[in-house]
Amino acid sequence: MSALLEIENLHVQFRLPQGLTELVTRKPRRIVKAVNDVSLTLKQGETLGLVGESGCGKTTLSRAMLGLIEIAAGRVRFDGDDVFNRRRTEQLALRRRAQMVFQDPYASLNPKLTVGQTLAEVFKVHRLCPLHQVPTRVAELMERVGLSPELEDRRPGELSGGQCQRVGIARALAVNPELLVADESVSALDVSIQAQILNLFLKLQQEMGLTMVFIAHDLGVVWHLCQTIAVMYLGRIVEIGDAEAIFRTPKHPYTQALIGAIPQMQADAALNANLLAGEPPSPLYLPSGCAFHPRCPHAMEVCRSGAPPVSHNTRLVKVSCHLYDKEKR
Amino acid sequence: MNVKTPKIGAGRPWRIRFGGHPRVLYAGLSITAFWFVLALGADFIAPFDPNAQDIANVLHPPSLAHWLGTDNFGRDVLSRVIHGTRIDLQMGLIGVFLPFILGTVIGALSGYFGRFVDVVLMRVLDVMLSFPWLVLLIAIITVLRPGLGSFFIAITLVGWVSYARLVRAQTLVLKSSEFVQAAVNLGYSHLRILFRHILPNAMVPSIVFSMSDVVLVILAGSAISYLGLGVQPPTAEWGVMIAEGQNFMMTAWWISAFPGISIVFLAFGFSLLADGLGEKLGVQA
Repeated sequence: MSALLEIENLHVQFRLPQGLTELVTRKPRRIVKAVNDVSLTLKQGETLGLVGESGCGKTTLSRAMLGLIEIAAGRVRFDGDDVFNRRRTEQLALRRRAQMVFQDPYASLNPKLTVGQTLAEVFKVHRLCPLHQVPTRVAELMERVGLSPELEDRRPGELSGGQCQRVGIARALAVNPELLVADESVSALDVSIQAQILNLFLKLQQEMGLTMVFIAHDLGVVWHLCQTIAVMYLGRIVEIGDAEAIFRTPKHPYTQALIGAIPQMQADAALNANLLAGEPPSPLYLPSGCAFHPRCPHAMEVCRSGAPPVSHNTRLVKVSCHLYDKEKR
Repeated sequence: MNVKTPKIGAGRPWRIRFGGHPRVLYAGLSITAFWFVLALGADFIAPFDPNAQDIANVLHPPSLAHWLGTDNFGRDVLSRVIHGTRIDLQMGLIGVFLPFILGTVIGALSGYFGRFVDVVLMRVLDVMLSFPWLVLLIAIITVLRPGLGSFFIAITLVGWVSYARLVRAQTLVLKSSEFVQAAVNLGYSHLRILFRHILPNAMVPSIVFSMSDVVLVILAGSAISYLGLGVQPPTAEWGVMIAEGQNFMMTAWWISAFPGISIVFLAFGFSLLADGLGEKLGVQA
């Protein structure tokens, strides 16, 4: 199987606007390093789960994957071609192959357009079929994501959250993409609806052979769906590899804490003592050394200074932590 | 079991609704509809020719023959008020429509493209805002030449700023919304995103504002006509009529009073319409 998406040493930075006092005192412009030196490869048909706390750069990484935001350094290649620096026709071709489902089901649909109009627009813009076939294609699409046909003339305000999310999925699938990025696509929904939407994703993935990137902050959701998991902390991937292996034997202390934080459905289960304390540091002022060291229970002297730890390859996972330095040598 | 379903809004008597419409919207619609009927049917409704002079019946107080009296040329005030509705409504609607279009286009371009376009357009807007608008209006009309056409040009040049600010603010918010990002990700063109996805949503507050702006424009138009810069006598227009009647305020109050009351009543109708529309569309006017 070949690599569909390759990301090499990707950096994304946001420059904050300067205030007057900062201009006068000639302070350097503050920069948020949202994504730091991320590399990953996605094979055709693979499902990658991207997890991490809020603000760790998951969403930014997903936007950069699709070439939607400017990157500071690095390279993103989709099927061998650079995602950035494309001509308009090439750009349109990429849009047909890589799509996205958004987080907020209501906000991701234009409130003024009916479901039918929203879906028909995709077919018309991309000229996917002759005009007279558009209504039948829309009906097929709605059936495939489990929307009943009478919803076609409704506007998003008249739909439930789950129905809206199905419309969002249908819109992304209209172009028959190979890669689907789901950015926290179930976190805004009720738990029962979450399961329905997750099953829909699973079904579609099997039917269409989709390659998926599934972003979530809920590890349980990711485990349900993904073969590979990448754990992000403050813009870096700290552990990446086989989902099963990461769940059974998490190596990075941050992953251990995340997995320990999954609520247990047992009456007498002891509360996990190793829950993470505090908030992640501001990405404006990244800690030196390993960014996780202020919250890490195993922090050593080597973690506090110098460069961030390099990643260590084991058989199934790659982990960036000084704890495993010795194993390598 | 008989369970009584509680009426929605039952505990809030000040929000009585008629057929699902807020009372305010209904009242506003009826009042504006009343004026529209008067304007359209002026030729049939008005009992006299608005410009026919009757020297024998000068400065007649309101009576059965002349319900609102006659002015210093013996012209029937009621007929003149009814015919004036045409001019004043026309002033209000055209005088809002043109700035609405200009302001919406400028605001949308400014908010959507940002950067250089935004900086330039917003500085122009600041310059416009730094003048008192009525003074600017009078200055522009004087430079052109007094008349209704100049009034429309001037009100367009002065009035677009409010719409531009409203639309720009909305565009900025919508630009980062997920449905616009989805449109970008689907490869839609700038034109399509701007006109099909952003503008229909960005225009709602300015549509509501335009209703109350009609009031301001009619008042401005009447004021301009009162100053002799807008509609010229002997055309029946409320501002002109008030100006003509002011010499007789002490002896024949009805010449100025009834056009004045009409302005207030028309303005009231549009204000209610704006409030009702704002409530219905969920916008604070």
